Amino acid sequence: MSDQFDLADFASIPDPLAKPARSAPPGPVPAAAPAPVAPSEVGPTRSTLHKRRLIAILVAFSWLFAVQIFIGIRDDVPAWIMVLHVGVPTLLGSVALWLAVQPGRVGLGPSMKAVAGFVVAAAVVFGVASLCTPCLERGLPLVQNSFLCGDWIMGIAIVPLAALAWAQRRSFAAGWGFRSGLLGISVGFTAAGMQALHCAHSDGMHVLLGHGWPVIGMGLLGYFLLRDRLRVA
Amino acid sequence: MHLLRSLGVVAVPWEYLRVTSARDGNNADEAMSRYAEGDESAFAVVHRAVAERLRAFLTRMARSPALADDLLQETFLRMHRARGSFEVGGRVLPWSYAIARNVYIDHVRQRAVRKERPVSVDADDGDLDPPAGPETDGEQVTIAAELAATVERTLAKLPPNQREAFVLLRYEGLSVSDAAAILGTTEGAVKLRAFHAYEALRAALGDVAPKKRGAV
Repeated sequence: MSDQFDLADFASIPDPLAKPARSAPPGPVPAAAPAPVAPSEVGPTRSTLHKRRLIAILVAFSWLFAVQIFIGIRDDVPAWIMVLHVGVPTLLGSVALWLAVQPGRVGLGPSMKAVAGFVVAAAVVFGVASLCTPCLERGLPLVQNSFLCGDWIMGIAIVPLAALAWAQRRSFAAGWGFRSGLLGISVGFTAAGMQALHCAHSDGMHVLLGHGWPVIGMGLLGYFLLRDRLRVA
Repeated sequence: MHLLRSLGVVAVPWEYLRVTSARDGNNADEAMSRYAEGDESAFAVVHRAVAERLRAFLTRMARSPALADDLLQETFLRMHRARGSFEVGGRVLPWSYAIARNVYIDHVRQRAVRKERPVSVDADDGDLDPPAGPETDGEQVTIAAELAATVERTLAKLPPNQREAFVLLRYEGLSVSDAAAILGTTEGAVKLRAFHAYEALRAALGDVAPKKRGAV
């Protein structure tokens, strides 16, 4: 079912609007037609939106970092574990954000293939980064401490999600569902990374589960809560 | 197929649309980019480039020219509000189609909430006249009208995702990749939806065309 084959076949379907007045390709508007005037409720310019986005990112990072400073940053974890548990999720969050707001080929955002590819790759990278660290300590049982950490991450991620929603409101003309989900994933990864600065459990399974499920949760939250707020409406 | 061509029903010039889009599109893209940066005067160029095509798209989706005009106004309002989201290097035609589609989706949702009936496709709609040209005689006009009405009815009965995929590819002359970007899905899904629509339309026309071929 190639493109050419399909397109050629489709031409056999008549056009119900095919008459001179309607089917003619766009031409210049008649001279008598009034020139369109921008309405008073015209939206912000591109540079204003970019500034908003920058402000939202700064607010998000400042908030997440301030929370970690307030609750305390660990200094007893080896640097390489910090890189894996803080650096990798934060990097994945940044890539997710970049992907969500990038214009794509025609200005309508990334393709579904790119998004699907990122989600799979991010899950693998996060999983490997989490599980290649040894079990350093044990606190509460795995499930219990995973939910404790996950709840906390979901809680602190609400502010960055709201900031990004404010910056990007009414800005997705297409693909608003998966792009909103990507914003949620982005916030989830970043919050999970920041939480690792404080988290008392550095073992791989805890990071994978306790810091992983909030990423999925934030993705779903972004998809269901933001998709209608972020689309052009 | 020959019958349809001879009637002038298969009249949408795809190649013409593509060439026209390429020529006018660059100017319009540039104008939209300037408008996104705050140059109010650039919008007239954008309006000239996309208005008729959006009106045709919305008429095909809404099946009522009057309603399509209302939706077109709303589409332009949203383009004004969302101008800042038009990125450098973007193309205004797919972008505006995507916004028009949003407007249509909202219209359908509001209609569902208000429990209104959709525009009837069985009723005679004086605005959707049959194709006619100087070379067609009365019988040909009647046949073309019947074929067009069949397409209209069948399109109306299709699921919205199949209808919009088919309309974008067949009538708006867009590429599969552009349609996929507008619909926010994969190229494979667009092809599949459009192909299902095509099969339904072929089946519906199959019931009409043989009788008419015999009559000509």
